[in-house]
Amino acid sequence: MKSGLVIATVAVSVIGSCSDAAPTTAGERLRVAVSFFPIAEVVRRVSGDAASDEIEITTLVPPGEEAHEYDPTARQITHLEDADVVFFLGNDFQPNIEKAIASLPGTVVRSDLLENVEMLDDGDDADTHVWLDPMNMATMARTAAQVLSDAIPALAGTFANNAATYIRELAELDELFAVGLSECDSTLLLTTHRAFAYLADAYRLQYSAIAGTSPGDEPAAKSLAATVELAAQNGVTTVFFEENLPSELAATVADEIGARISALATAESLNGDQIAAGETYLSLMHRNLEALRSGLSCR
Amino acid sequence: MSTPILEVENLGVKYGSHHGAHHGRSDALYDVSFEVRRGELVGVIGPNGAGKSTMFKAICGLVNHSGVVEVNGVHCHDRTDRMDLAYIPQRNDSDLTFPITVGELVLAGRRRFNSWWQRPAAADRAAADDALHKVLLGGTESCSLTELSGGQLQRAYLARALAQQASVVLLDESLSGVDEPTTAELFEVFNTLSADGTAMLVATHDLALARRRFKRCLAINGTLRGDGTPEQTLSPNILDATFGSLGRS
Amino acid sequence: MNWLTEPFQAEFMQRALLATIIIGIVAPVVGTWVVLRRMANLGDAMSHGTLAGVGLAYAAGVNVLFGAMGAGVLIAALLLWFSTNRRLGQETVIAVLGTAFFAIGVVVISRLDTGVALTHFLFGRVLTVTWGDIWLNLALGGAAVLVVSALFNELRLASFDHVQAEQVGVHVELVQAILVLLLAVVVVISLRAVGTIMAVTMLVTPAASARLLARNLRQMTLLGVVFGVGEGVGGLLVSYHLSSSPGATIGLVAAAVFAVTFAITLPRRMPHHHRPFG
Repeated sequence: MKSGLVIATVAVSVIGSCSDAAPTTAGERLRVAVSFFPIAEVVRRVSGDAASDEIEITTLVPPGEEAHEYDPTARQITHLEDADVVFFLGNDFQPNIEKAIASLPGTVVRSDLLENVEMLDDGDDADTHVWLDPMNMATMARTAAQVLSDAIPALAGTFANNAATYIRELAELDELFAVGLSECDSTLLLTTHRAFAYLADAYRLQYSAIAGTSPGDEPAAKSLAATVELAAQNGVTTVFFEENLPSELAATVADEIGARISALATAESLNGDQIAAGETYLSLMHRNLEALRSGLSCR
Repeated sequence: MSTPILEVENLGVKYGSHHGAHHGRSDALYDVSFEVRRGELVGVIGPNGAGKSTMFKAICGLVNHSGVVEVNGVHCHDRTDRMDLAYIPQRNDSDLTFPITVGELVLAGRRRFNSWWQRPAAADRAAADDALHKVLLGGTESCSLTELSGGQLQRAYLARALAQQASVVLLDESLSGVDEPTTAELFEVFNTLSADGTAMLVATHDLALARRRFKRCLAINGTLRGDGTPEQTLSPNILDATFGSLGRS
Repeated sequence: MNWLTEPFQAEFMQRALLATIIIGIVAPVVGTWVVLRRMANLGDAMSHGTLAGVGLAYAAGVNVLFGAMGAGVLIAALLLWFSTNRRLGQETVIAVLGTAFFAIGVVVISRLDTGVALTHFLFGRVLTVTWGDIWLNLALGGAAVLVVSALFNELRLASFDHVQAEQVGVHVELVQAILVLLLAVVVVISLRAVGTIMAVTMLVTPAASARLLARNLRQMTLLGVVFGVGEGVGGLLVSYHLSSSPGATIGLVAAAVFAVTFAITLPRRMPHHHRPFG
């Protein structure tokens, strides 16, 4: 089924090159669209140097924009229709983008990178930040390598190598987290919004969030009071808030129990400054680890 | 008694200089000149829309106007020069449900003797109380305006003018929709104030009433059509000019 | 009793209580005049319009309260300017300005990459009010109450009969301008706690209830404050126990009080009633 689609795609891209006004020298580059930052990171690492020569990657969510509620512009949807492959995360993580992708013509290969990722059973308001577990990133890298190899079989070896390298780096990161968070005075991770369930699950931390998953969520007064009590009982000394989001809620709880606040990156988008500083998923996660080790008093 | 307390010379008002502009003619009022003496009670007659209210507002400096208004021999340049004037609006122009008591209404007249930051002093309260008694409303200080009859309301406004020690009071249609006993009562109060030296101009479109009650009438329709005793002012010629054919019924 | 005290054990709820009480006092003190002078639609436009200032201040990294205040003053100034055009009624100018500024606010806030949600300002975040907010509100609100009490007489004269007021020396237009500024102050102090939409509720509803009952202005102001504080605290309590949005719950309680007051005073407002005199 999948290879059939790919053949159709390649055929379309060949036909496309005949009618296109400005074909590139060595024929058409593979047009790959990705939904947002972690996916872009995976695809870029897997395609490696081929990215510039053979593959053209565009990211839907612009730098610094909020990823969940992002609504693709009319121009972006037109570009999406011209794409060969689209990588995204399903499961209602980005409803507007998923809607746009669902309406694309059958010629576009759609790859939901949640495939093969083990989802947490997290109730109604489920956390979707699967990429905060590095091993999920590894799974996504494997899937991406497969899809890209199907699209450009000639580069299958390169993609496999690139993926293997990236997965090794991710495994090292995973090891650092596992060791770094194994002996901590506090085992309760408390954050503003419910975005770190996968991270907490991977490293056996208890997890609680002040508000729901959406950045606009507000807790009810009673549940805020309950959170304060939970934090006090667990001797929480640091309340974490999401980098780039307001810290008031975290500050309110921290204030009650005499704790401090500290930022954690959700790594769902980079702002302009972070891009200029050359930040990557790995660098963000290394900083997250430091913040966690200090906030949870780990040895 | 000889010097005029209010002198109006060549008063004119263009349409559009206040709200409710009409079209077609350019002057709402032109070339109005007259004098009023201390303690005089003057009826101002004319049909609705003839410019009686406009004239009052111009005299009070509330609308842009040409010509000269002098009060107590002082040329009025802006509104603050006219604290000796009191304007009593038509009944429909005030919000009677406004949470203000009769006592507070009358005290409003005392503001001219105080600065913005000053509260009414004992002397002000005494003057307000005095004024209320003069208009036969003693003891109604704490009433709200909705509790007053039409005649009582006019008297309460008169008390405010008294408290303000205005030398000239302009009453706009204060006799409309008021029954005969109430009218009699009001004129009793007018006469009291008049005896005290307060000049009063009372606008009305009721000719029969004007004939009976006033010694002097001004006939207004766009300009001053007549000025004199009711017999002089309400002559057929002047009535034609003022009211058209309606006036002779 | 526990029902009353339990919610306020945590300090954040004590801060929420204080913020609500400040609004409950200041909003009706100013709102009394807004209701009497029939300026409620201006209050509405002002509260929505301040969103522009909030958005721009956020984008510039300035305290949003200053942005809101700036937008409020700008709206007031533009209103005075546009109102000199006789072709347009004031309510038209008010609607144009209010919606235009609101639209600026929505566009700016939705383009911000700080993850600040529009709903934070529309409905407030009373649970995250800081001591800094409270001190600022106390200062601004205290100033507003002082101004109103200093100008109480002038406001009364200008509002009841502006013609006579001018004659006896009241600067009616200045009083009006000050009142519009006070309106902006109320919106600003409501912003963090109950949000811009509920700011109008607190401005108008308690004062409207008081208007139905009060015989004079002092009564109306005091009753308005009693209603405002009662509705604010009551709404906060109810929202705690129902786990509902504090701002919206306060608004509901205020509306319920108004409905009851309206029903109670209905017989009194019937046309046939006796006049004690003549």
